[in-house]
Amino acid sequence: VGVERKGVMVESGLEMVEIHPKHQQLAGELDRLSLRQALIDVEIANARVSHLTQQMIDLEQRLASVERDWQALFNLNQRAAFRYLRQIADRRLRAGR
Amino acid sequence: VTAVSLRPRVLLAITVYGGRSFVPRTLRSATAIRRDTVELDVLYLDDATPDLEFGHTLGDLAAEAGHGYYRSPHNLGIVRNVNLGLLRALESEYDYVIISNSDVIYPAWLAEQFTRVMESDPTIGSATAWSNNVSIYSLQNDDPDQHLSDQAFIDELNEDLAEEFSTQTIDIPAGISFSMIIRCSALKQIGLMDPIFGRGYCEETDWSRRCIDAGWRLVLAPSVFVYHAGRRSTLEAGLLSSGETTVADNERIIDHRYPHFRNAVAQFIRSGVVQHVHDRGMSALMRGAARRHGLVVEVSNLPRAADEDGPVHAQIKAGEYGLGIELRYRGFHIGVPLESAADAPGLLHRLFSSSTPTTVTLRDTVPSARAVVQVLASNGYGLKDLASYPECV
Repeated sequence: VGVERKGVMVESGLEMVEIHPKHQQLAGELDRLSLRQALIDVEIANARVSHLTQQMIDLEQRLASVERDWQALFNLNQRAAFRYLRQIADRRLRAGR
Repeated sequence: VTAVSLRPRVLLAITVYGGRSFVPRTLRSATAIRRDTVELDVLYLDDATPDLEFGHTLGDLAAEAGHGYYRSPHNLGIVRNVNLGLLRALESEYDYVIISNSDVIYPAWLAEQFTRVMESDPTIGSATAWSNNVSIYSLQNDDPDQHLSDQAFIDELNEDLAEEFSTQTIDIPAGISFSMIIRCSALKQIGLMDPIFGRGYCEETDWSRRCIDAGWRLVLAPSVFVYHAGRRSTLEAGLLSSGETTVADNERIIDHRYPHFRNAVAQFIRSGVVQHVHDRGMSALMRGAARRHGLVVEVSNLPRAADEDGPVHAQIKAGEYGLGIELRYRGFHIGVPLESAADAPGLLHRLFSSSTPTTVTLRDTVPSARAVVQVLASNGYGLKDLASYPECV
């Protein structure tokens, strides 16, 4: 390109960059905008994590409750199935006589 | 008394990550954008390209061109980098912001035509340009890099499309941020792209749905065509591997937030609107190219390749697989069915009007091809018979 760089090294966030003199004002303005938005993004991300964590806790509680209900129904079903099998066996025994 | 410009103020925000081989071309194209009816500023948002030397080069080139250049001190990812451009547009009170990838060639009338479209209806929130490689909003080309990566041709093509479509638009289910213009008053209401989409993909779909939900129109501007090499930056960033076109995790977010979105897209495609506009666009570009570079009509069932800068080829196929005309130009092609051979002269005249040539070349010996030629001959076409010379077939 062959353009002599007359910019100064400016500490800009995480890296030292050489900025063309024509872009220095713009760099300052966009650094400020970017930083402000990054802070807003962090706020939003934190809010989302809190919300999702709360949702996960609620869903875990609901899952535990559903598992308890399912176990109770399973036990009920087993007892009913056992009663039904016993009835069939009794009928066959009576028929055998 | 302070002079106040009535021309709309437009910011073209180009996101950059790497791209030593293609960004300088984009910069040259951005420099050539006309500003007769708009106040245009160009801003390159370099997302901390690892190639620091290229970053310096781009900064220097931008300074020479009078464009802005900003290098983020930390890689933000596409979404937050785009947001920086949007924020800049809001803070500096632009009327419109065009967000764009860096692997493109703009037409010279990009800003003027885009703003004409936006000003044709104040309820349009955003308009997406047409391209060769943008999902369903594409005029497909066999080899875009070979045929389309040429500023003069992109300008010609845009002239033809602007003549055909003027400020017409079609409502679309989602915009594509490779090159889309956003009304800043709409942006203020809708907000920025959601950073949940991390390093990018689908963020513009989410933004589009919010735009529509807020009551704004989201449209395709078929009068604006931007050449798009496609996925160059995302491939460089390692976001997509070669062959992938999207990010599955981001698609799942869209499915979760907008369960009807896929249906909306399917309905939009089934409606045939985009196909209709596509066919009109193809016809317009063939017509314009024929006017500039001529038209060759030939009757042949053999596949033929068009010359790079040659005339438009109208190949009439009259064989056992049916009757039709295939138009080809610089990697574009479109098929037009014919009811009968007798319709061929009329259709050619409707498509090309004064560009219709006076001779037809016959390259096939099947009787149905001869029949088509006879019809053309009876309509004043001269015959160049190459079918008798096998080496020419």
